Amino acid sequence: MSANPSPAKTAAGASTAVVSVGSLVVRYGRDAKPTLEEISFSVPKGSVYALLGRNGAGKSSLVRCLLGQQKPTAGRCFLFGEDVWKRRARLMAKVGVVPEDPDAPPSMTARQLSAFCARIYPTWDAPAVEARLARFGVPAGTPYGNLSKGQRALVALALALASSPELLVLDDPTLGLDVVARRAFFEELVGELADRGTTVLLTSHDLTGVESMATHVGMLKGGRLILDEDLEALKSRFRRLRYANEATENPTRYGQELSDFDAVKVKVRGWGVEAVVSNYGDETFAKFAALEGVVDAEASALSLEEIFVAIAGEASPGRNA
Amino acid sequence: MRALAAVFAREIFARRLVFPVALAAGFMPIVVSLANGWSKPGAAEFRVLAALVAAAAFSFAFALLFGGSVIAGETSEKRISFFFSRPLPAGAIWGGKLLAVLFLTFVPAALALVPAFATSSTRANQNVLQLGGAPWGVLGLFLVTLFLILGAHAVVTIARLRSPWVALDLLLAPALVLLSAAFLRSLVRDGLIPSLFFSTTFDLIPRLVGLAAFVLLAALAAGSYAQVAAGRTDSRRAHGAFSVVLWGILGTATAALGGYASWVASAQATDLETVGGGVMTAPRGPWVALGGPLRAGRGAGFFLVDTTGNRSQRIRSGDAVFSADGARAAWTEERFGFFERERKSDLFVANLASAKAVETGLTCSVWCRVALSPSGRELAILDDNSLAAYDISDPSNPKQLAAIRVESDSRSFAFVGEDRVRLFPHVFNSANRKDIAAPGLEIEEFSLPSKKSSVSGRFEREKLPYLRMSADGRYLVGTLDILLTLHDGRTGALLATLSKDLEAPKMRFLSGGRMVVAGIAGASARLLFFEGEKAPARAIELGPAASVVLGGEIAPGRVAVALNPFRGNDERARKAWKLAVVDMSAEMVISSLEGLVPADRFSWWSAPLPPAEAGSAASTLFLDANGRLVRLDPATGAQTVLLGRSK
Repeated sequence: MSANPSPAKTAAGASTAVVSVGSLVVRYGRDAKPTLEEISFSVPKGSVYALLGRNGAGKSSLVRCLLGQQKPTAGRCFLFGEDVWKRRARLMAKVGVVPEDPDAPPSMTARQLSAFCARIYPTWDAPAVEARLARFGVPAGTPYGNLSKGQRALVALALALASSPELLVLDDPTLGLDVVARRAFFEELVGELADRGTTVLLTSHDLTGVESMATHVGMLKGGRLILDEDLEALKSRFRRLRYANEATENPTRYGQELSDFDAVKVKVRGWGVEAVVSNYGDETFAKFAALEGVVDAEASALSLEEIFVAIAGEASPGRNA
Repeated sequence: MRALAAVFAREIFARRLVFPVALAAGFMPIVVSLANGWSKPGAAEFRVLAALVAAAAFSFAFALLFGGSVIAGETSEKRISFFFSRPLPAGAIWGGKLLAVLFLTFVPAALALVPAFATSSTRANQNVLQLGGAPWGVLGLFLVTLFLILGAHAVVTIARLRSPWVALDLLLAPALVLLSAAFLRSLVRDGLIPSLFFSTTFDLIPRLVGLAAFVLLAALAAGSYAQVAAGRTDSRRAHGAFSVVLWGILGTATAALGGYASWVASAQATDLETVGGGVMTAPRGPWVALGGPLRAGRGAGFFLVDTTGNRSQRIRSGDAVFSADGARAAWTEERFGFFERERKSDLFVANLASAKAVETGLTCSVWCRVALSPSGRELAILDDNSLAAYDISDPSNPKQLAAIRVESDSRSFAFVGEDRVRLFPHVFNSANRKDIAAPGLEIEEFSLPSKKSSVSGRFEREKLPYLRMSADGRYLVGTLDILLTLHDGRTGALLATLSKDLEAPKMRFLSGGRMVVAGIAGASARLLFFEGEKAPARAIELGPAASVVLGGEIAPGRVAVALNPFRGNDERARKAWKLAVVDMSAEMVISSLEGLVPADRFSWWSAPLPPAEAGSAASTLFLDANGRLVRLDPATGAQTVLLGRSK
């Protein structure tokens, strides 16, 4: 990861980056610790970028900056190569947004909201909104404020998709939704992606849902982007290792034998050692398994949620043990 | 435009219920009128008036409600992001919402009027509308409502966005109010009040009120726009943008007001457009007290002016008095403040040699009068029913010498020497004579060393003339209708009748104990010349005139008299003065100058008459037809413009 103040110099896929963020800093209050510190990343066209982080990591601040709703303290955000703070109104015609907190006027029905949007978007597919709402089972004639949280999220998604956006920004859209609503939401999203190849940037706590469609992952921690990577590559380098440690004439101290793996989490169990490593390779593992004192070593793949917990959770005591 | 219309329509649609509610409220006066008698006298006016009150109430209530909620409320509730995540320019969001608030404020109010107006006669409608001061009343109502909308927005922004910027708001709001009040006070004191004394108007209040309303509304509107455009969904930044723009504009406007007030207050005598009203000349020396309208919208001002140099001192009074030696001047300035409960004046003294004014620390009512001793080292104040004398050798530290109770304040007073003050009857209008209490007819001598007073003379009520005293205190000159009389200054005893057939007679003492009287006899001006108080009059006919002004002895034996074929002081008369210089020995007019009139022409209300001194600086000052103060060289007839602008 490197500072990328200009959209032309972004990382992979620079020429086709739909989103690019350069050296972004967000600070609330003059002397406060930055909420976001020197954030730079880009989202290639057609990708699904999952921005992960614990509560308060700065995801929503980043999304607001990306949508031109908040001016960053420093750095810039570009959508489609244009500065979003300066060109927000024009760029929003190509962006569909599902906010974390439902923000549509509570007195308006989904149908009225659709009619309002139809007046301001260059293209608007009102029948598609009606069709999606019918599919979701959301009443189109009920005021937005009277809908359940899940229904509001689905209305927001229906509205976000109706303009055939080139970019979808979803800010933790399934937060607080029940399983059924979440499933409906993601199914619709996956269907849309399959149909149109829309670029998506989403933040979510629902890592299972995200994992099924994300192509790229970024992870915020302590105001910094500590991870920005293709999901498959990420998953291929993260592994859970389990092994026993036998006493030898020159006993290896627990954990030291993992130095080639960049272990992010190490736990000593009764039966041996369990570690999550971030630099897994088959050859390295073979060498590791052959180390004197390492017995019954085995490596297993991790889910995105497990990787997230390993990275975003408390600092692994095992690393310093 | 399309985006703005969409936002506008959305806001209206979301609050569409206000329209039927307002219309239903508009039927209430109809219902009440039906119950009380539809055709009773005044019923139609009642319906229209009640509907107007309801409409005003609706507009005010909706202005506060929607003004506070449509932008600031949505920002604080984080619902404005709905608009910012759409392809809507900030201007369309702000403009659409603001227009919607205006629509939602005024249209329901208009709807509330419809039933009453529709069911009442045109005459009744017009009667009530005239009562409401339409169309200015409607405009005022519109501006008040607009202010309520933007004001409610400002208050909600400051209160609900809860950002640290509130500290700036709380600091600057009272600071700017206090500063503006101070600047306004200065403007009213230095610009408006002096203007009231002159025919020119200083349209300070209506202009400032209009400008202040415009600036305030513009600042609030610009602040709310900046809040939306620069703050967007970030409530802290939105509040910051609002505060910076609002206080920036208001601060700049306040600074401009301060600059204007300072500019108005800093006007010099050389900025006088014309010299208006009276010119009070010092008995000796070059100083005069005068006033007039100032150039370039600075209102008007009063000044002490050295007519032989460039020195001047601005004073906030049209009534300065001089010491006989011309070394000092004294005057009172009314205190002007928004929280003054009593009308009080502060007393100032100027040492004219240094042209430096000193606040004495003495105060009196606004009706008090002051007099200076011949040397200017002592000062007497007649206030209400007390006469107090002070040693003002050090004007900043006056010491009271004596004070007595005065039974009547309908008297004038003047120093007669350094340690004696004389009170003598002083009534302008003979119709007031019957109201004067007995002490008001007395001449009273107040000795400062003994701190005692004694009555030295008395006038009969029916024969009490308007009295002025000679500069040396030796005589009193009385005017009663066309009768001009000379009295003993101490006892009031009649010494001579100077004139009994001249209209509006004027009198001056000349050097060498001589006297001169001018007045209108029939349709021409006449001068009466006396070698002494007992000498017979020699009449000099000056030719046709309707009014005459007697000036001083501009050179030994030569008196300046201005003649005018018209009465009054209108433009035509002001241009028609002709100055005649009369040689008293030769009893003839030796020169005639167009447009000049003696500068101290209006100082007739001053208690002491000008001193007898041939060729004094004061006697050579005149006002020309353009209202400029000019000095006339008696030898050459050359005129030098001292103050006022050429027209």
